[in-house]
Amino acid sequence: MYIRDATGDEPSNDQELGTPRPGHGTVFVVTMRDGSWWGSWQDDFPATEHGPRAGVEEFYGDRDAVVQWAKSRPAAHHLIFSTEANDYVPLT
Amino acid sequence: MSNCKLARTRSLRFALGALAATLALVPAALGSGAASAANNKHTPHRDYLKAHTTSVGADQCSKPVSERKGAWFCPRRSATKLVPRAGWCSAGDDACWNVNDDKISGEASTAGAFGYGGRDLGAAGVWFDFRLNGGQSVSKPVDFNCSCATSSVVFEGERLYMSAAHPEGNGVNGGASYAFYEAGPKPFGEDAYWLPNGYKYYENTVSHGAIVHEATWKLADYPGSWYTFVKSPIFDMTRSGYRLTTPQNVPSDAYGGGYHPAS
Repeated sequence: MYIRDATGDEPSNDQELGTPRPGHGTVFVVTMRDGSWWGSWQDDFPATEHGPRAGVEEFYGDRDAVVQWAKSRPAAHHLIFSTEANDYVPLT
Repeated sequence: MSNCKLARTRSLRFALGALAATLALVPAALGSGAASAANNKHTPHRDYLKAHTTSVGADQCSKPVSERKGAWFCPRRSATKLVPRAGWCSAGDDACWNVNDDKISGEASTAGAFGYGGRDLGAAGVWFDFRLNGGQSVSKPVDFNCSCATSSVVFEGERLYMSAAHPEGNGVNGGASYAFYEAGPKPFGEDAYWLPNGYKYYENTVSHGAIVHEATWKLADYPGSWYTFVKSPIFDMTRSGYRLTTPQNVPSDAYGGGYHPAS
C-alpha cells in the first residue's frame, strides 16, 4: 500500500513526520512560483531509536492567511522570506 | 477554496503512516520511497548514484546512428522542447540549471536522443522546478516529455548529500527520501507529470545537498526501458535553512541517461 496525498493541494509525501512541539522549531514562510504562499513549522526532535525525527506542520494559501497561520504557531522562531533582504527575516 | 480547507498538517499524515505500519503494510522504519518500493511492482533504479560514463549504450553515442548497436541514449537537451527560463548549460548543451535571485528556488533540465540499433526512436527529457523552505524541498512540477508514445513512465526522486566521498551525491537518511511515481503510458506529445503535485521531503542534517529526479520510460514494441536524470544545483545549510549559490555549482555526474535491458 502506498499512501498518497489525495487532496491535490500539495505535493505527494509519505515521509514519517510528527507534530512540532510548542516552544520549539522555526516557522518559515515563502512564496511559491504560482504566487501562492507556503508556511512550514519545522521542529527537529531529540534523537531517538524510534519514531519520527522531526515534526512539520504546513499551511498553503494567500499571503494574509499564511502569515496569520504562521503567527499563530507557538514556535520558537518565526521567519518570512524578504525579497528586499534576499533572506529570511523575523516575522513581525 | 477556503483557507481552512487549505490547511494540511503533517500530524495527519503521520497518523496515516502509523496506521499503515500497524497493519504491517508499511515498514515503520522505512521512509516513503522504501515503503513504496517494498509494496509495489516498481524496482528502484537510482541510476543517478552510479557513474554517468557507465550507462548502458553511452559508448554508442560517438558513432553515426546507422552504425549503432543495441539500445542507446545520447544526452542533448536541445533534442526536445524542454527549455528553462534562464540559467547555465553544460558543455554540449546536454543539461541546464537555473538559480533564481532568491537563492531558494531554481530548475534543472536534461534531454537526449534515444534509439535501438540503427533506429532513432525519438528524444526525451526531464525537467523540474524546485523550491526550498528551511529544511524542506518541493519539486513541482516534475515533467517528462518525449517525441514518442510511451507505454510506461516512472519518476523517481531523492534528496542527496554531497561529500568528499560522494561528490556525485548519495541518498540522505540511508535512502529514506527515495520516492517514485508511476505516471503510466503517455501518447505522443503529451507530457507526464509527478502527480498530484510533485515531490517533497524534509531533511536538514546535511551541509551540502541537492535534489535529483529520474524518469524511466518504455516503448511498446521494444524490450527494456530508457532513463534520464538530472540533479539540482547544490544547496548549502545556513542559519536560515538551505540556500543555493550558482547554477554552475552542481554535483558531479549531474545528468545522464541510459538503458535498462531487464525492465
